[in-house]
Amino acid sequence: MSVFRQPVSDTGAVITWCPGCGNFGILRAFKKAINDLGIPPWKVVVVTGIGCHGKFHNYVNVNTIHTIHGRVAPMITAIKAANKELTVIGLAGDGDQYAIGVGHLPHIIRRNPDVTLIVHNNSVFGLTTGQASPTSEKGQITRTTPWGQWEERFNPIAFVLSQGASFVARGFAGDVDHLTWLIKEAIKHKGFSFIDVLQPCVTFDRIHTYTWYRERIYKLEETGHDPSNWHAAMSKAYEWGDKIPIGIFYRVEKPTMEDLLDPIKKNPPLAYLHLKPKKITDLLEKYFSLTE
Amino acid sequence: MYMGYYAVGVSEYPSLIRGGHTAYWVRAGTEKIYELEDHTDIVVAFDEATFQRHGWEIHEDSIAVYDPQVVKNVPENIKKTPIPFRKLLRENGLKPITMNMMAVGAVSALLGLPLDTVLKSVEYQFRGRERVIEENKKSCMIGYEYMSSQPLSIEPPRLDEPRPWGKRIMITGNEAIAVGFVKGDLRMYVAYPMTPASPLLHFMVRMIKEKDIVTIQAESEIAAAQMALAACWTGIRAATGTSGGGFALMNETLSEAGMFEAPLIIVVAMRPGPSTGMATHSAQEDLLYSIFAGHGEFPRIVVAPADQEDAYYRAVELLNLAWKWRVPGIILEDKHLAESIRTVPAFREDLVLEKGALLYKEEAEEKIRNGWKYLPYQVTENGVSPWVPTGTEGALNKSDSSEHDERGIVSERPHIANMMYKKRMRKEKYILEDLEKNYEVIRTYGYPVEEADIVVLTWGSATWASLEAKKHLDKEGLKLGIVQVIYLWPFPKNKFNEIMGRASGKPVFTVEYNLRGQLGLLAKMVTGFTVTDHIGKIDGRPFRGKQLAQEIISRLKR
Repeated sequence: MSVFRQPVSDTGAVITWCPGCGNFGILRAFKKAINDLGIPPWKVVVVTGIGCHGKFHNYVNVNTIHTIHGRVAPMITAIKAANKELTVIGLAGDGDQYAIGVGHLPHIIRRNPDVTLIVHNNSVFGLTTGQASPTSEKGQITRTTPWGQWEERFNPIAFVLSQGASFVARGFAGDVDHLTWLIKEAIKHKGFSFIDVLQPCVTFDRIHTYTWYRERIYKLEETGHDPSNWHAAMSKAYEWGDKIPIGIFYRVEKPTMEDLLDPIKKNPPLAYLHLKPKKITDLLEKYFSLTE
Repeated sequence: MYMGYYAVGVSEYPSLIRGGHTAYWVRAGTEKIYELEDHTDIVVAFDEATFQRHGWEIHEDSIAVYDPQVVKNVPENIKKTPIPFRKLLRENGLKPITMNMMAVGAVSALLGLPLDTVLKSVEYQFRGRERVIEENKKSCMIGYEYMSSQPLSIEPPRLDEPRPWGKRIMITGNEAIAVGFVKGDLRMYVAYPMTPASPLLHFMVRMIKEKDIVTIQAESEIAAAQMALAACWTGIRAATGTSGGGFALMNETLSEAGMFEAPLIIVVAMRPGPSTGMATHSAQEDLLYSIFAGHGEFPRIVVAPADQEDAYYRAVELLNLAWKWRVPGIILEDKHLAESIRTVPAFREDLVLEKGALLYKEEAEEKIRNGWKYLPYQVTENGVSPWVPTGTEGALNKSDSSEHDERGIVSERPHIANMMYKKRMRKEKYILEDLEKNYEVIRTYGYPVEEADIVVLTWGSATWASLEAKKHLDKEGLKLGIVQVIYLWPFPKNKFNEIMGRASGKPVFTVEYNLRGQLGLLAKMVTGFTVTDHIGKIDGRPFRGKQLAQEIISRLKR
């Protein structure tokens, strides 16, 4: 039996992912993207959900929240609202974002805060030992689908595109350079950026292996795909099986939450303002019949 | 209110948008008014249901104001002053919606109120909408003139000469909390609509433009609580508000705020349960729930404002306390407090805000440059760790919903778990000390407990009926002492024992809008004190003063 020595992260915390886990590739790409962009660690916020991906919180020297299951999207929205100066990145799992937290997905798109959401999509619930997730393949055998998954596979790219997200991309954990580029593009994009990352789970997913993906993946930017064409993006979103596109599906500029909400737009980052009692007598006059 | 009367206004409405029977009570006088009474002097009826449902409130001198074309079945035992609302509206080309202002005019004439003051109120009510003001003023005047010109066979009641009592306002509990949030420099309010907390959201939305407060209508109560918590985590004051069902969805986040040691503020506006219950009515069923909601153990502060005036001061105070101790805080109000209107002294401006252990960005950066090693969960004597706004140079805020060490990095090692769990929990002891020493945790009214014949132990809006009941019991020669607990958690056990120790041998009744007598259960759990009996009411409608007095007397006889 081989002995796997668990690596130590930048924070000193031991990395407890399985050897060969797709999360290692995402961690490398994330760190490289932040370093390439030259953003100081205290200006970066990462919010993670619950699952294997959630451990990311412990492994990076930036501001982090490890929140409860499925709630990354509302948290990154509020953090950007409270401090517009920060680079805010949400990391979620497929169970986290597409099952329990899917209800938040249309709303972060509608609000369009200038944040990035990266979904570690490994097609299973890993940390709870291999149950089916919304992106498990039809017929896939998992702990909760011993006779094969009977439910249809959720299509994250089509879902997000359909709601008008301003930056929609897919990456692959096995291609760190390409993923690094995608993360940098997503961070630079002004508005909500979404990256679904195909991530092999080496322990619980017998179908989506590195090889399985490598045989199918091709890059949109090498095919002349026009990321400003929503209809083209939507038709690419439905390609799955023998051919799987990665890269930027769609990109458009739209007003952001920070542009649309006055208190954010016209003030310095709210988190830096000193606590100061506000006047209320004007409100008493205007709304509550103040009488001498 | 303009003239200097004390007034309360209470609404009762069903959970529907158009049609149905809606009722509104106004009680005014020259002495402070706490609650509605059993009898109603003037009844304005727009439908037949008014007399069917509220017939019990009519006494021998009650007067009915109604349109005989609309309301045909008027009880025998009421004095009648009919007014042809429909005909007057038609003749004067007025919209039917102005009928209520015509009624206001008619009632004002009956009461002998000066027309100019009444019109001033109408103007204020519709401020900013010139055409609406004109139409409603006209309708009001027509009602006033019609009633003044009628030869009345009855002697309508007259209010005593008003005695203006200083700078005053008229406000609901929800609005008072909102104004408290403005004063307290709240910078983000996120909520999902739920009666009876929605008016708080409606007011806060206005504050986007008026007071620079980011207000967001979230996609669910879960999102609302998560957004408010994340905002707190960056170093700004943030809150959310809801009712029981929405609070249930927030429980996981409340527990997370306990783990993050974040001063998240949640307003819980109670309505009857279980489940959807009676959506537009009032209850006090979630006292124990607010105190124990959320998995795991963690300190929190739960405050139940005494009334609309108190709601403003307690909102600011709770923001300060939550920040001082880095714990979540809950403002517990019921629909009766949340939506009833009351004349109260104008709120003071001169309140002080406390940032507690938060260091401003510049302070923190200066300290860090001088060698300070920032640990967001540093273990300290009283459990409170200094913290900094996220984005402070050289500092990292790391918060984990998992058990973590002083850096905020996950740890499941037993000695770390012991240290961190106890660090959080020992705040509770210090918070209790602080509350009992520096804040009004319990308020007493009526006869001092040692002189009283009967003691009522109560909280929130149930106190108001108790205060009215006292007036009735006085006439019976029974001395009532009222003890209102304002800070419910950490339960002020020393103060409670000190006060209730003087009640030994006396009947002590809990008066609450629930069936179990939750305050009694709480007091027993913490102090061992046992109440004599519980007087509860769970039909969604508050006690009237006389009703409660009679109930107290009947319990004495048992």
